[in-house]
Amino acid sequence: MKLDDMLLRGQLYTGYKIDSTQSVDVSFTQNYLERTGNDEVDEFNRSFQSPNYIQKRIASLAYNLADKRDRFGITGFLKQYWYTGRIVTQDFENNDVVTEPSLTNTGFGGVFSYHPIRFITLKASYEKAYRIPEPHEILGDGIYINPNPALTPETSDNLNLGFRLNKSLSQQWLLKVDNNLFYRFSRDFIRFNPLGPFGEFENLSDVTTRGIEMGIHLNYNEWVDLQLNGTYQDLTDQNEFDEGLPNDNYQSRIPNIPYFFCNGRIGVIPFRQLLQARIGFYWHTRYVHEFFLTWENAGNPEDKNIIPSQLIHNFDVEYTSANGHYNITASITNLADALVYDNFNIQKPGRAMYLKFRYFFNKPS
Amino acid sequence: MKSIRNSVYALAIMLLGFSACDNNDESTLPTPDPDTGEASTGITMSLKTTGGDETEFIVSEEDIMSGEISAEGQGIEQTGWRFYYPVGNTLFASGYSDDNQCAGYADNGEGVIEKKGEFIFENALEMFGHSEDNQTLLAMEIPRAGFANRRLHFIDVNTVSVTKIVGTRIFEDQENGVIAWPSALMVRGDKLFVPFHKLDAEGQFSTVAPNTAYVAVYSYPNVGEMPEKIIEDDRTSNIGVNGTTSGMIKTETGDVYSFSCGASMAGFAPAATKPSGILRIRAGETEFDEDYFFNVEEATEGGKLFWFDYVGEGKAIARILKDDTGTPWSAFERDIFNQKLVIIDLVNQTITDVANVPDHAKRYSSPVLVEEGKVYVSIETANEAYVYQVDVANATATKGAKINGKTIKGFYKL
Repeated sequence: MKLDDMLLRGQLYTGYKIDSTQSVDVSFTQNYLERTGNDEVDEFNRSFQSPNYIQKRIASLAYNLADKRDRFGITGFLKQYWYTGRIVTQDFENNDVVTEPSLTNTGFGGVFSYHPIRFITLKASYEKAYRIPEPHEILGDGIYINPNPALTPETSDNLNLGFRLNKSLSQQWLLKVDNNLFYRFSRDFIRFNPLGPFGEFENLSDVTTRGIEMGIHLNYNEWVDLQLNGTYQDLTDQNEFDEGLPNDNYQSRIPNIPYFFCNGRIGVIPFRQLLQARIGFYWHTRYVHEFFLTWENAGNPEDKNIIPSQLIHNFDVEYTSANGHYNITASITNLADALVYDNFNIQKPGRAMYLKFRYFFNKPS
Repeated sequence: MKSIRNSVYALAIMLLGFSACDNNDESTLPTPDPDTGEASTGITMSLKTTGGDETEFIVSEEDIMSGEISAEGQGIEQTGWRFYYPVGNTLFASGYSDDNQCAGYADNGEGVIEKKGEFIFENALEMFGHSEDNQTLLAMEIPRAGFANRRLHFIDVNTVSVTKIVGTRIFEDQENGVIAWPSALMVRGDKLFVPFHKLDAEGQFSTVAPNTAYVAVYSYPNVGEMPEKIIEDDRTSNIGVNGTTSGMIKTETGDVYSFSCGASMAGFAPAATKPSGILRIRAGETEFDEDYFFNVEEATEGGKLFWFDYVGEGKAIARILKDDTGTPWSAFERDIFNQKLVIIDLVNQTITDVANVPDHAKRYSSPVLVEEGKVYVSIETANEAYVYQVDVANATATKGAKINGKTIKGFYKL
């Protein structure tokens, strides 16, 4: 099976500052994908023989208002979504079935931010959002992901509450803390449904997400840099019925999606004053807690299929010549050579070493 | 030129990259704790849950006539949609389009169900049968399009390993683009009977010759590439229904009965114009019994057999589509609840509706479990699913446990 994709992408962005407290941003993105295919092995396979296309366009308009002392800021925005497509699949009698998804909808939202004191930001936002399926979600990838022309855009109400601290503790120390609580009510939630080696993206009619993201960033005199991030999210199925029968997974955790993960990175850039060049050492650790392949509530928990916890350490040394023209990076990924998986039974690479040279013809200072 | 100068060009050369992927022997994947499996006592079931991916589980219960049957916190998780076919006390769970693996589950000697082995295959095994001594599972790979061998796998029930594969076309007509889709694998003595549908070779699943029953007869156990003969009968339509392994059944005395459906709702395109009914091959014979045809369509005033299975003493339990007014293949869905449960006296050609069972929709069933004249079935209506225990002799049923799920595909004794 040979697939040919033709992509056409465009992006336009412009901003206008009305005065010192008001500004307007306008943007437009467009994304067009056309796929044709040919199966040289199975002469009867007519997948993608007639071209399939997906066209996404999003226009957005945002208005920002801040007070003169920069104590608060308000942003209101509108997003216009246009989505059209033509997907040709074959039914079980090998007849062409043409699906023409389309969506024309307007999303909107607002952000309110407030600085009670100079180095603290409180933020609240709401968005009525639409998520249009990505091409690989609706058309598949030709290998592991089967196409699902019935996949519809996801609609959600998103609420965020944020807290940010950004403070110099002394001449040398800089501390940043970011906390974000999020709440999402999704209709037609798009998720990957793994079915053995293959799977497809599908919609779940009613999903609630509650979560928290936390991040700490500490910097000492641009010498030592420490970052820690963590996310916990609880996605649950809120649909009570399935084809008229009670849904066995009502309020159960959505499977095959990580719900707790965190990472840390420490960087040391020594001898800055001594050397003409810059040399940095970075250690990066990532952890993903184990999660179930299928619904959490069903089956004996002791022998359910799981995607096991991952703990991966990476180490990089980066050397940059004084003016930035030359750049050499040596990396070791998965230092402990841990057996890790992102997808059920599909193993990720073990320990690997990379050496990368980069040369900039022109380097903006 | 200036814009070019002002742009930043990056040239990245991967000079050296090598990776080590050596596999450690010790796997971090958890191995199932033998103490956590399902009990093999009571009745074992293959339960399809509702919601999202409809994950399937093998669960056991001592009592399935009261309470609820659920996979909540219990059951052996399966991957994707599966066929479940018991041979003796071993249950085979075989992947469909999503998973090319078949596992055998059995009691481990300590009252716990364990996977005793598994094997993989190239194309989905879609038709199953077994030897008379219950030592061999027969399973056939059926390529969906083109002229290709249907590969009959012989699987040792005790070791769950493939011992032999025989490729056969069953029937094909390259000139007219016709292939055979087997609808049962039934062993009787030294013969293997393989009834089949004639389909187009393009994989459109059109039934190009629906108004005749066809059976390929092979010798057994030395099954050849070609059948010894193909027998036909034009009193009724193609035998069996897609996915149903019991299109052809056998009595204690060796008489063979087959059912023909022909309904559009059951996937016949075009639908048959011959009546739905039952044919017989007498014990020791390999030809249809010319003196026997049970016209079920006539006896049920327009009904068509969608499924049947043998329940002993010359009787079959069956589902009848009361009409054929749905869209093509809709008998496999949950939109039209027009199936009634009946007991058929094969010898005397009578049909009795099973009392107390509502009209329902049921797509797939494993071969039935018969215990002391009682058969368990899963009955699903628009808003509920329940186990019913059917008393064969009296054609009555008792409503049992509520099913927390979409269906129970089969009931087994392991």
